[in-house]
Amino acid sequence: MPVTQKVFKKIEPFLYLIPSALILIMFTYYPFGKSFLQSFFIVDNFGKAKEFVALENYAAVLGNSRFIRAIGNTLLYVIVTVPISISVGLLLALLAQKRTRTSTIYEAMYALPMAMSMSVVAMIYQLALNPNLGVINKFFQTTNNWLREEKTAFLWLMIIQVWLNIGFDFLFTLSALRGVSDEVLESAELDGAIGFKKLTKIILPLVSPTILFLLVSSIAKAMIAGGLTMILTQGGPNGSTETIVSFLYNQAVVSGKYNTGYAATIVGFILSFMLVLLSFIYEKKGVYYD
Amino acid sequence: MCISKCQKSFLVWILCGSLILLSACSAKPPSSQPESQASVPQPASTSPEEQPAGDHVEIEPCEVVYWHAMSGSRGEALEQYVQRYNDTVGKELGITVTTVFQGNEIASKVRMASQESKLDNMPDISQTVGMDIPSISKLPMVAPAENFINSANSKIKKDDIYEHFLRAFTYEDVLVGMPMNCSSLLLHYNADLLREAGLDGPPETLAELAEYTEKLTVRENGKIVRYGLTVGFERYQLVNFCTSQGSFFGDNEGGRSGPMTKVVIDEDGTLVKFLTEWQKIVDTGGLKMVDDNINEEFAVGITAMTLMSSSRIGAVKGLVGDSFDYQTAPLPKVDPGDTFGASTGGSCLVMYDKGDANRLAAAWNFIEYATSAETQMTWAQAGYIPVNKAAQGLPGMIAYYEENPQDRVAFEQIRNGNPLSQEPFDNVNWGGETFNALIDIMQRFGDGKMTVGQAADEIVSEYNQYLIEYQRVNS
Amino acid sequence: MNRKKYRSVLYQAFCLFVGIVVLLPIAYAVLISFMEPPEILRREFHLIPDGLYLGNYIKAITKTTLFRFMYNSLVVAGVSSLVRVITCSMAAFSFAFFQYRGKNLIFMLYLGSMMIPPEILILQNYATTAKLGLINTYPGMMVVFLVSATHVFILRQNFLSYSRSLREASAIDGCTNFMFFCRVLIPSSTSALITVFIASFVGTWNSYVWPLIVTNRDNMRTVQVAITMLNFPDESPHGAIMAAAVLILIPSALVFLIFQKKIKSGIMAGSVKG
Repeated sequence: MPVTQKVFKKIEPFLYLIPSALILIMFTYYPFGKSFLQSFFIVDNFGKAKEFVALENYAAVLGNSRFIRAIGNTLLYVIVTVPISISVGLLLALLAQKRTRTSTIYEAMYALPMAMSMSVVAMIYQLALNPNLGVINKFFQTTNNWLREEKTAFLWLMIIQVWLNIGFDFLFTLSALRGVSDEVLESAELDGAIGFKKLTKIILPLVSPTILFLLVSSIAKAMIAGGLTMILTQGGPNGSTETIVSFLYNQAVVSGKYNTGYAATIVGFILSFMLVLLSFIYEKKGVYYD
Repeated sequence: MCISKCQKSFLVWILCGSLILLSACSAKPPSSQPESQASVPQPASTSPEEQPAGDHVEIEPCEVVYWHAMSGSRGEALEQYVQRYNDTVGKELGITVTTVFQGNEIASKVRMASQESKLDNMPDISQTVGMDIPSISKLPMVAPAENFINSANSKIKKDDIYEHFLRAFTYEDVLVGMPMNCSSLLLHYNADLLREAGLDGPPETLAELAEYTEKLTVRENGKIVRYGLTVGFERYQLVNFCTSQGSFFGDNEGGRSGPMTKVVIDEDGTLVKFLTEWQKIVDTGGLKMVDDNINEEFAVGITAMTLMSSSRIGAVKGLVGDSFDYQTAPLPKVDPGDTFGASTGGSCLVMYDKGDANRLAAAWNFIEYATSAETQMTWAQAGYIPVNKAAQGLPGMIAYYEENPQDRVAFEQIRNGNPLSQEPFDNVNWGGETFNALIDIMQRFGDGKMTVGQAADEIVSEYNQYLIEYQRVNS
Repeated sequence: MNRKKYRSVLYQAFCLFVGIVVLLPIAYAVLISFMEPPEILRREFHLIPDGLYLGNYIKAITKTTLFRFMYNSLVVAGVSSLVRVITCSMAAFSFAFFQYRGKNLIFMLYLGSMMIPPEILILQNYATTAKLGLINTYPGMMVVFLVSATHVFILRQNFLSYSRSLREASAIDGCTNFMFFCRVLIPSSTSALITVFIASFVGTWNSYVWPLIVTNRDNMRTVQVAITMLNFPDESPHGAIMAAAVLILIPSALVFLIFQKKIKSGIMAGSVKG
């Protein structure tokens, strides 16, 4: 092969990566890299680095009890919302699997939460949970201030998050389910696999690429979730709804304390990365590609 | 395709290294000078004495960009006075004022735009909250109002504006922005419910407020169906109750003659005094210290009294309608002998010099119009306190206050109060860490989980910690 | 025969019922949007509005230039989603069909970007966009939406399920990689690509912070800003906000529903087309 062709063959895969890589580098990794660097300095409220302090910011943020609590809350958030969202999506997909005359209608209904913006959904739930005006309290004739009680605030945030996730998870599992060919299902049934066994031994493995994708992307998204907290509770009551991102947003963007903000971001990033790597073990063990 | 473990980790290091190199190439070297100084064109105005305010005969046609954070009906009222300017004075001179809504991000946007090497994306005027004045005033492109208001040609003089409002936006003896959106903390109450309970007129002190709260709270089967008093307690209320006793709240005259480095409310005893009085209200059990749509709760009768900003009067009037006699009263005193009164809150209009003296002159021309008596009179009807003294003499203003005593109370308590009663320049951002911590502490105090001493200690330490950190990072 | 039909109808009715349960929050918003402010404040439990009060909708449309905002959102969401489909499918192609050193590492780096909270990047991205002179322009509003690692991932999963034989067969026919990409892969993955387009469209349509930060003129603003303009805490905005929310939901829901038919065939499952 002539030399140019040989070289082309080597760099060809990279050529396809260029457009996306360029954007990622310019607008994600470059600013992130800068935050990483600046986390080792004292940064003033305008974002200007002033004094090198090595790991001082990290020591400060890891010694901040609110941040530690935020880490715990975020992990709880991931452990609760991710499996539940995916399971609900799967259940809905199993329910809607068979095509019927009204399929398009209820399929659209299950997927619609995906089209809602988080801030709007937060406002809807905020009104619904209002102690005196909200429909939930009116229905049960109570005046609980759900979002201000330590015991219930975070619980409700997780419920809202699961609702927000349903559409996405449903859509993907439905398509995956529909992609399982009928012959495979029939031959499995002939072999005596029905009901629960059919579900676990036949269906789940066949939709595992999708499950992996949902798992990984949901974990990543949940680790950097902060919007609901920022809109509804601002971290209260008493830090019980603070997540890593709501903490760093409050520090860096609202309070102008970029020092703890940047350090918190890096810590959060490392944790998320570790969790995602863990979930890739599932790819090795449980995912079947054709 | 097997890559040995060695090669894999080598690759990882190379990639990390190149990432770091990439960011290092554009990371700015640590310096305490704002980088933009080097490339910013020198502002046309430097010293107060030399600056001629644009004599309006000389201004050439141009555009003035005005950033604001007013939405809802307030936003509408703003558009109206801008439109009136554009149709009258602006038209004669060829000046067009363009408004841009920036919402809660306005302060961040000003900061971000100021860091750019070119100033094209900066506004000419931006609405600036009092809290941001110290940090904003350090930006090289700020054109302080002091320079303009003192010049011979200016149509507005310092004497035309109430001293309280001028002081609210003055830092280190320089008036940075012209006061525009001013409000004060008031007691709002349902006069019908008070009469029903046999109470004559509004409470004047916190001790009386406690008595009233007791009498106005209604319980059914052990549960409260009507609260005597509801307050969304945050920094705003805390600050007012300390400054109304005559405290500066912090050193350096509350951060006005220099950066604030600590609070003084512990030293001068005002914090403990306030908390002790507030304790009486807490003890009645009829106090709700959380804001869950207070406007609605008040309008519907779930609460009899509330302590909130005068800027809410319009909204509450709309919700209450004719259903009951809605009145306001000056902020209750902590000690019957207090004379300082509520402090001035709100925001001002700050001008930026983008290297074009003509635009600056045009911006000032607009501000002269906005702070004139007539404009202030109509602006007051949107819920703000008129800053121009002459507005009080206008028939329209007199008539308005006749029909809207609630607004008149807001104005009078400022005018009758001491100009030294001001919110401190403590750099505590709305919604920031310290801000939220204060709410938390007061809520625990309100729930009876803390004593006066404990609450006072925590508030002081929270504040001082923040101030020290802020100074370390920003000086 | 009848029994089967009866069961089918019952089954469908159940599915629809579950659908209503799922959509309760949206239904709530719609109901509130038709209520007058005093009605919303009533203390008894009631959900059906007394009458079809249109005041909230009128307020939402007149107090903000909602339709101009919608147009801006449409342009930004539409174009950036199209670009994203292209960039992500190219990247996924590289990951799925090629073998090269460092592939897994680079893929990990792509995944890593999913774990970086966008909130921390705003300051610097604003500065970069300003340096490029793109403040207050459509491209400036789109730059941060042009790639998504999540979507690269989706497409990678999809492409991985394609059998090798397909690729080998076309290679024997003298097909270069690029031709394979354009003539074979893309046409047969329309459902996955459309999914990426829709997810991207909806996501960008619903974004608020970046479009606000990067624009300085009201006529460039997007639809989510309208909600902020209505959400003045000192007034009673619930009805108007819900009305705006419903209006804003309509276009994204429409895009969704229109393309939904195309997603019917599997997104993830492979196509072993001989």
